[in-house]
Amino acid sequence: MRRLLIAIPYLWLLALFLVPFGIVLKIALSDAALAIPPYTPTLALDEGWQSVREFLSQLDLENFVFLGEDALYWKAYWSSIQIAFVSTVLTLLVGYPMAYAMARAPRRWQPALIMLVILPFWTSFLIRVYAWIGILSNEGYLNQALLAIGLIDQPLALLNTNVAVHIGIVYTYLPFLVLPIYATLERLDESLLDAARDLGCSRTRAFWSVTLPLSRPGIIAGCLLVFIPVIGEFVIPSVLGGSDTLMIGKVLWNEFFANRDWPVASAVAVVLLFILIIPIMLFQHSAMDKREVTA
Amino acid sequence: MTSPWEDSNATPLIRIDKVTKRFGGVTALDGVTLDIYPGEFFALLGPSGCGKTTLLRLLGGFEEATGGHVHIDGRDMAGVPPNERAVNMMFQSYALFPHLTVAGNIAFGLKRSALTKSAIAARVDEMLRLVQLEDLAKRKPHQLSGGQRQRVALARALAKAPKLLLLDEPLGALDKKLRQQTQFELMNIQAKTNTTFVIVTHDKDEAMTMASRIAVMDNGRILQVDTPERIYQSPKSIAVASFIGDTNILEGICNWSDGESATFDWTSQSRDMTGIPGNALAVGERCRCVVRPEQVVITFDEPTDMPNRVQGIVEDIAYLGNVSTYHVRLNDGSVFTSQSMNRQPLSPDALGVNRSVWLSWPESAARILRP
Ligand SMILES: Nc1ncnc2c1ncn2[C@@H]1O[C@H](COP(=O)(O)OP(=O)(O)OP(=O)(O)O)[C@@H](O)[C@H]1O
Ligand SMILES: [Mg+2]
Repeated sequence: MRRLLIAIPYLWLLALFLVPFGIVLKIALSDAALAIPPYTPTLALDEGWQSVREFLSQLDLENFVFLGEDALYWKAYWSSIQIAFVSTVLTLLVGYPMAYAMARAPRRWQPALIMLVILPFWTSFLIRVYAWIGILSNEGYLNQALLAIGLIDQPLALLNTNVAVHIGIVYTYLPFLVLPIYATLERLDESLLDAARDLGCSRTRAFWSVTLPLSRPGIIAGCLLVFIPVIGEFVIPSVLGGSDTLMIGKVLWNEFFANRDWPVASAVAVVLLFILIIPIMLFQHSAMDKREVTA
Repeated sequence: MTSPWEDSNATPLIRIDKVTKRFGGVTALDGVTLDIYPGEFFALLGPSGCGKTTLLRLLGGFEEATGGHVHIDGRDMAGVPPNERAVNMMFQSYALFPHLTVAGNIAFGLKRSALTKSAIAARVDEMLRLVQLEDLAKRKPHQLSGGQRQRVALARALAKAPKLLLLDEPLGALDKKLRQQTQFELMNIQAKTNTTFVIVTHDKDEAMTMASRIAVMDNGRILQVDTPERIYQSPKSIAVASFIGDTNILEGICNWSDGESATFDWTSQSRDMTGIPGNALAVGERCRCVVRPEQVVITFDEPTDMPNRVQGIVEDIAYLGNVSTYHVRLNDGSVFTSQSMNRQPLSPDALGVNRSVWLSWPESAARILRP
C-alpha cells in the first residue's frame, strides 16, 4: 500500500512529463519528410525486433547540429532570456509594492484585495492580451489620454514594439508574482519590525534589513513563476510585438505550422527545456527552503 | 542605605504622570502615575488584559499616550520614536530575526551604532558569554530550544547597554524549573550590568522573587506600588491582597481604632477581633479583614491567650509535601483555610478529618481594610 502511494507521483511524472518528452525527443532525432506524420522514421512495433533496430539506427543529432549552426536560433533564445529577465524585474518592481500594500491593509479588506488580483483570470487570457491593442495602438486609449492632457503632441508608437511586449507580460504575469510575495509578507511577524525599531532602525532601515530578507523566498518563487513561462511565451509577442521581436516561442510556432518541420521544432523545444531546467531547479530548491522555514 | 523610592532627593529614571491610553473605545491605561528609579528591578503585575504590555510599549515608544506624560532620564518622550530612545525591549514572543544567526541577532542593534567592526565582534562575544551561549553563536533561532532563544533575546536587548530594559513576560514560554533557574540568572545579570529592569508578569511568585518593587495593576489602573514584602504583608486593598496570594476574608464592622490597631465585630461569628488597619477606618464603618492561611495556627485546645480565635471542624486536608492545607468549616458554614509546614512525617490520627479544632492568629497577622 505504501509503495503504491509512493509510486503515484512517479507514475504522474512518467505519464505527464517523461512520456511526452520521450516522444518529442524522438521526433527531434528524426528527419523531416513529406508524409503524415511529417517525419521519418516511424516506429512499427508489429514488425518485430529487426525493424526496431533499423528504426533506432536512423535516429541522429542532425537537427541539433543545425540549430547550433544557424544564428537565428541562438539569437532567439538569447533575446527570449533577455525579454524574460527585463519583464521579470519590471513585474517585481510593480508587484512587490502591491503585495506589500495588500499585506499591510486592514485584515478585513485582504480577501477582497486577493480577489481583485485573481479577478483577471476570469476572462480569457487571449482576449485580455488583444484588449491591450486597443489601449496601446496609435489611436488607442493611452495615446488619446496622453494627447488630451498635453503630455505629448505625437502619438507614441508602442504597439508592435518590445515595449508593448513588456507591458503585456507585466500585466499578464503580475498575479503569479504578487500572490507568493503576499503570502510571505502576510505571515511576517509584526513584532520583528518592532524589534528592529527597538534596536535602532528607522522604518525604512527596518524594511531593508528585516522585511526584504524575510520575503526573499516569496520573491524568488514569484520571479521564477514569471521568468520560466515567459521564456517560452508565444501569444504576447505575436499579438503585441513587432516583426523584430524575436522570441523562441514564435520561432517554435513557425517551425511547426509555417515550415511544417516537426523535427527541427522538436529540437528547439528540447533545447528550450534544457535552458529552463536551471531556473526550474532553483524554483524547487526555494520551495523546499520555504517549507523548511515555515516548519 | 535608604531605598531610592524612600529618599525624597532621588531623581527617578522614569516618571509616568497621569498617563491614559485608549484604543478606540477600550481604555487600556487609566491615569497611571508611577516613578521608577535607576537600578531598580521593577515588576508590573496584574491579570491578563490589565494594560501591562500597553504600559511597557508606551515606555518603548511603540505607542503614544492618549493623555499624560512620560519622562525618561528627565526628557519628555512625546513623539520620540523607539529607535531614538536609550531603551531596549525583550519581546513577549522574543521576536528573534529568523534569517540571522544568534551572533547576527545580537549584533543587529550594534550595527546601527557608530561602533567599529571589531568593537561589535567583541561586544557580541561578551554578550554570548554573559548568557552562556558561546557555542551556539552560529545557529539560527529555529535550531534553539525555548530557553536558549530566551537568552538570545536577552543578550540582544542588553547588547547596546541600554539605561532601561523592558521585559514583557520573558519567562512565559519556559517550564517551571527552567523558569526558576532563569529568574535567578536574570537577577544576576541585572545586578552585573546595573541596568534598570521593568518586567511584566502575571505570575505573582515571579514578581515576588525578582522585583525590588511591584506595581499591582488591574483594569488599567495601579492599585499599589510597594516592595514584595509590603505588598504581601500590608496590602492596601482587598483586590491586592487576594491577587497576591490565598487569603481568608472576614467581614465586619469596625468598633474601635487608634490608627495603629483596631477591633471589629466579626459579623458571622458575633465576636470582636483585632488587627492592624490598612486604611484609615471610622468606627461604625463596614470593613473586611484579611488573614493569610500560613499565619493561622491550628490547635485542639482553646488558645485562650490569643485574641483572635475561632472554633471549627476539619473538613479536608490537602497534603502538598512540604506544607499541608487544612480547610476548616466554621459554625456559620463558611470555610477557613490554614496552612502549616510539615516538619515531622504526618501521623494520620493526629489531625484527622472531622476533628474539632481551634484556629487562632496574632493581631499582627490580620489586616483590616475597607471593603
Ligand atoms: N492595539 C490594540 N488595539 C485595541 N485594543 C488593544 C490594543 N492593544 C491592547 N488593547 C487592549 O488593551 C487592554 C490591555 O492590553 P494589554 O496587552 O496591555 O494587556 P496585558 O496586561 O499585557 O495582558 P496579558 O497579560 O494578557 O498580556 C486589553 O483590553 C486589550 O484588549
Ligand atoms: Mg501582555
